[in-house]
Amino acid sequence: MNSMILKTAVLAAALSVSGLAGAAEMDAKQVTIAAKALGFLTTKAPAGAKVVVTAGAAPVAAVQAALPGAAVAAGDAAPGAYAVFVSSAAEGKKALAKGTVTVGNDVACVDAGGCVIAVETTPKVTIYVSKAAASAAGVEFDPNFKMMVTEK
Amino acid sequence: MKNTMRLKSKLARSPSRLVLTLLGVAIASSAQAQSMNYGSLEDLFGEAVTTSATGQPQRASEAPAPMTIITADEIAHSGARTIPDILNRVAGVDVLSWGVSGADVGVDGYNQGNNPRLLVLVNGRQVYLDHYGVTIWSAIPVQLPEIRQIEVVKGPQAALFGFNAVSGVVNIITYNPLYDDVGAAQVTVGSQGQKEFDAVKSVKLGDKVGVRFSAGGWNMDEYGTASDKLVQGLRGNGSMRRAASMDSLAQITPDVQAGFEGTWSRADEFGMTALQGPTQGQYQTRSFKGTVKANTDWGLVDATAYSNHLDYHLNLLNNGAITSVASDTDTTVVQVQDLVKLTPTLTTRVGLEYRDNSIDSSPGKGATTGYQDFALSNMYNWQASDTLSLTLAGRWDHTWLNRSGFAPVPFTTADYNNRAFDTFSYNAGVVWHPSADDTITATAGRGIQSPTLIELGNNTVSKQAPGSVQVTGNPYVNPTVVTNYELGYQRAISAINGAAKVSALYQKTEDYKSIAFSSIHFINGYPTILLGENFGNSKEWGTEAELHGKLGGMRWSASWTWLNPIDSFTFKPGTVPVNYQRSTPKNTVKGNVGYDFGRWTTDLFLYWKSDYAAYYQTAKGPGLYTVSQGLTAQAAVSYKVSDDFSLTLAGSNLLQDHTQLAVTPQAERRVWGTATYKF
Repeated sequence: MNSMILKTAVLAAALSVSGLAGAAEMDAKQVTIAAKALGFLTTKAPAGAKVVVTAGAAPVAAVQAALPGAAVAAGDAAPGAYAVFVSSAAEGKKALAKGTVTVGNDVACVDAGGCVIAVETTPKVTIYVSKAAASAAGVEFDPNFKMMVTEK
Repeated sequence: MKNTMRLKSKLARSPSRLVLTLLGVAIASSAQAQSMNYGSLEDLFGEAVTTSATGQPQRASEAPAPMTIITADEIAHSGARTIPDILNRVAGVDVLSWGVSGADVGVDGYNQGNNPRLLVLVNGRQVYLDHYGVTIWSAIPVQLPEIRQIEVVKGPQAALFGFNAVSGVVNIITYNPLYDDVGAAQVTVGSQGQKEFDAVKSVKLGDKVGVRFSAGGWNMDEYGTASDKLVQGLRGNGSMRRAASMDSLAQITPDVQAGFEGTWSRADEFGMTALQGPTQGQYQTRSFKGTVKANTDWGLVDATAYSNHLDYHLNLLNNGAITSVASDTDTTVVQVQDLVKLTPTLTTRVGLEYRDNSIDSSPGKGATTGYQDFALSNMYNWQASDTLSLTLAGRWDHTWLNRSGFAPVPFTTADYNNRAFDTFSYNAGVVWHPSADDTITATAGRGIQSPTLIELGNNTVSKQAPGSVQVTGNPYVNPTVVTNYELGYQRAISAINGAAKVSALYQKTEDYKSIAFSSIHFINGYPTILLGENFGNSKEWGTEAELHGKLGGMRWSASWTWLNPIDSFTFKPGTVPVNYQRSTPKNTVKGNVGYDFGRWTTDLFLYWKSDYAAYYQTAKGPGLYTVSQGLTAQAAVSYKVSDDFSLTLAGSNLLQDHTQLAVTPQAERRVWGTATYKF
């Protein structure tokens, strides 16, 4: 048992050092809230908009269910994508360079300017928006929405 | 797209963007929501949202004010057909039902006939009537199916809403004609000869213009319980309501929305006058409102102008006989506000307001009395940390009286035109979340209750009849000042899927004013009875506890309110006094339980008030009448025949054939059935 705890602790420490801590895959509720938050962008997603989910960012099926009008696919950030669900700030910055809205569940990603939106659903729904990332992606949000989110 | 966005971003940094936008030259390819989309934001955050605490969009749980939001679902579950019956369910709200529809609503005590302390609005437009300072709930031109939510804010909210938001504010929010699709028709038939119909429909004209139409009305007999002949005569005409409205909103440019609203209503009903006597009132209102909202470099700018007109005719008790008074009032309001997020954690709102209130002289026609008001307000909301926010808002009002038309007696035209006063109101609030489940709220507010037009107005003739006593408004009556301090604690309890709330308040009322027919004064040599006078101060302690939850299909709530006003008034002999120490029930307990299963929805609401005594005028004069403690029940059962069609059977005053709800003669048991079709 002690050996197991030690291995877990070492693994956790290693993940933390590598910067992946907090970048757990988004769950279905987080994906749903993130999809709703995308609805407050002033430029709405056109029908069939391309939405990309990077490895480990979120279940593709959950994203497709939350954005039924979009064409959701797993992969890397690509030009022309409306939004990209990312698992790290580095991935986010790569996607932002392609003019895409980046979405995650790690506030650190917003702090680093890699995610335009990060969502938390516990203990209550909280939405973080990076002003720098939004500017880099060239997007704006509904002004009432902006009054109710935590801007970074 | 990318280039367009970059160009837009560049323009956003230039002041010329506003000019371009206003000229309709904006290059953005999509619409922004200058009007708050309540439905989408509620869906996103999982709780009701509001602007009624600070003017800023906020979640209800983060509002720095004691607030309850009644949702459209809760209204539908209740089976209630009037807004006072819906409000009655809120802890701390007191409803005095005078007849089948006539009612006064109070928050945190001090309720009475013609309660002037509660400001009532529909989407921010005042429906509170300034003649006597009262809300005639039946005359509000809103149908129940078009209400998205009713926001009840307790305590003074004058820094945001201005005069008369002293005990609280009720802001009725309707569905947005541009964002929401709503279509419903309802037919109600019930006891007391109740026949009621209403219909609501929103229509989209393309994707940039939305219009919502509504119309409805009822006919009912007043209660037939034992009463004297005077009351029988006043009840004889029953209750009649007709109302219609049109509300529209258009996306003019991607950054600018404009709206127009027109309303009309007529309500005849039995009620209570400001002198606490029975009345049969006839009220006809009309209003026009225009709004422009723009998303600019300098924030969210909102300009609103509206005009309210009221014609009223009251048959009321005077010196043991029924007499009539009638006149009309006009209220014009222009408001401009700018809401800016200065930094990610600091938001401010700057507001300007101009108001013109006037009443025509009566019974002698040809003169107009009123006041104009200019106000400047400012609010700051600082999110100090993830768990702590602070709000500070202030408002300064400069008010000046005016009179035109024939020279009055006993006051002169100069008495009016030279009279002006300045008032200051504020709201301060701290919201602290020490843990994810706990919220502590501390608020302080100071509100101004303006003299009513009747209290100010010179409603007499230009020449006194020999040997007579003048009865007139008083240009020198002071506004009442209400200051309230409240501390609240709320804890979310996952075990009951609900929350517990407790709060305590201290409130003081200074320069209390009323129409009291005080003793005779000699003004400029004329024996005079003043309609508006200041009589002293009052203070109140109160506490409230509330618990609500939801388990499976069962939803429930329970509340207890304790209020203890202590008056320091000086009334001279012959006055029609008030006695809030006696007329405010010390204890009120409310309980609500509902169970939903399959196509059925059930709802039971019970409330109990401790005994109280209030002044009431009969042919013998004013007297203090006791209303014994009592339990009252309302219930509703609904069956959903299909997704679009439902049937509801509901009732009120169910526990007894006759119930003493107030000092007016008893109420009868009522039952009604409603068919609702959504389209």
